[in-house]
Amino acid sequence: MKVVESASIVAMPKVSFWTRWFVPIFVIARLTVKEAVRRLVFLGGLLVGAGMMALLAYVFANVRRQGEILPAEIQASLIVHFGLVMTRFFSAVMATALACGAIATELERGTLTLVVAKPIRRWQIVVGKFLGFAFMLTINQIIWLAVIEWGAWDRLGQWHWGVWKAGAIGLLYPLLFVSLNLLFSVHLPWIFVAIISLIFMGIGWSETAMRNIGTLANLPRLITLSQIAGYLMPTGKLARWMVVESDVLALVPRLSGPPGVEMPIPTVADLLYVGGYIVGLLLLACWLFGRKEISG
Amino acid sequence: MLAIETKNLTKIFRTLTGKKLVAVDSLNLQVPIGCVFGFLGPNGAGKTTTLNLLLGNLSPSGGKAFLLGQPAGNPEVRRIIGYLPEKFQFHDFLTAEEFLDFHARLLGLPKILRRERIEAVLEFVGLQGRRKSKLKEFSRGMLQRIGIAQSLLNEPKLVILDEPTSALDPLGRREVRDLILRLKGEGVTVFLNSHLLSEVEMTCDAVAIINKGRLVFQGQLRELLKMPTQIDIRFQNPSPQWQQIAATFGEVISVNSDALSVRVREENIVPELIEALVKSGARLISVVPKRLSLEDLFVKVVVHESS
Repeated sequence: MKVVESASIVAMPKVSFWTRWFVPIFVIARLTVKEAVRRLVFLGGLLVGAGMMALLAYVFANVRRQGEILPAEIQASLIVHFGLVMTRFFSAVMATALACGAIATELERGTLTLVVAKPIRRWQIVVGKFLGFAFMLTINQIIWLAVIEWGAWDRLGQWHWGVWKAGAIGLLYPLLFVSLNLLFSVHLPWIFVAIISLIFMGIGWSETAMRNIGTLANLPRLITLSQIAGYLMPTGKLARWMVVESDVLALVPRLSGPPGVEMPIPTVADLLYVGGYIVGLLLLACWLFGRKEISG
Repeated sequence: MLAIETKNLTKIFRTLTGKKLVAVDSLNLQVPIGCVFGFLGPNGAGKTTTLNLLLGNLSPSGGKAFLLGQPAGNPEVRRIIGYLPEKFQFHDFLTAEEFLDFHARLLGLPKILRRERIEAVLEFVGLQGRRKSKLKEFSRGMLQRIGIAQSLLNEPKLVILDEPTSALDPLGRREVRDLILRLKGEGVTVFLNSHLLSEVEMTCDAVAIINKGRLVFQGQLRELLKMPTQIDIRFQNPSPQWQQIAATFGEVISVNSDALSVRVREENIVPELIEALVKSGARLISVVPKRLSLEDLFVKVVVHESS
């Protein structure tokens, strides 16, 4: 709507720059955290993670009982590698579970109706929710990494810093899913957003599978498709960075892929692309929500 | 000075097939500051769409709207208005105090003022004893009251209430009505969208009626209620002559064996009619004036407009 002249102007209260532009973001982020804490998905994710680590410990113990003692370094590397794989998967699931109903579904329910009627810009709601989810997922990531580190330390008797380096990069993984979910949740109900998120997860994973099969079977088109999938959903780029940073390849080189297939060397450009991808999705979500007509 | 002003405000929706649907059609509303204003219309008349246009939730297809002189859609104007939507669901895991604190923070109120205002609005709606209770433990009426409380946190100059008494029992309705009247006493403009015409009649100074997106009446409630009055007269000595006399003063609506109903333009015609009948020899058993309620008038205006 155009700002035009009016005969009657009521004095508007003066608020500081901080109050106008930043306070609403943190208020929304705070509420998002509170809301996420009370949802069982957060606790559920942690329990599943703990269960998976216990299973891994059981497998090692069983191997040991059969007299086939794996060297401690190999055990630690396997714990780190598979722990990080699980972290990626469950953080993506958790990000989707938390963010898939963030906007359209909340508007439909009526919980956002009062919020949009306050002196808040729509983009501040999107950014606030993103920060709230990011905070929760960071806590989740730290707990998972601590569990993995404990597993490695138990075998090695010393810290395995690769866990934390890989984990820090791995935080981009759930953030990517949060921004993807926020974008689609502007217009779609949560169930459709969750399905789209799963489809994108599949696209991301298909990159490695297509590259491996394409290389082994010498199918250049499949390799091209794999590269397209890698740009469409750059989770593979992140996964490779995590493998390299986790520092396990020297001990268990086959973790990088099947024999005869070289893992592409991750570059800083890959990380920049993922960062740009997340920011781009977030900006698009802000723009779309800003234009959304709310008629509830 | 106007609290709400719209100039040819129009909203056209397009269906998936490209068909145009005019929800609000060149609406010119003028809501004076300090009054309780009833916004009426049948279902689908465009009331909620108008509210959404005023709040900036929808962008208009044409025309302009102003709230307290500021263009609708300007987020800053929402610092001085309060709003309670018809369909709301609160974050029910919060306590009443946390809920109000959340909204006070969104309004940008500083910490000390937040405490004061939360205290004041809880007292205003009579929920000070439930400040630590979670909203999920609240009844529908209490939720409505806490909803009104959040709309008053910023000491608004204008409060927009969309069906604030829907789903309330008669006692709850009365409480909300009292709250509205107290707000009016404090000089707050209240824009009330309600289906409950009896309540509008009891609380509003002015009303606007819209039908099919168009304004069909706007003005003081007194003015609206000045419309024709009906009187029922019973005779001890019925005669066709009485009907002829009555017809010279107004419109004879119905005639029974010993009674007739007449609609007159103004109330002050009634004594003249009675005098004429008595002078002609009519012996009257009863004269019952039937003032049209807002509901009768609403139906009449809307039906007339539709036809």
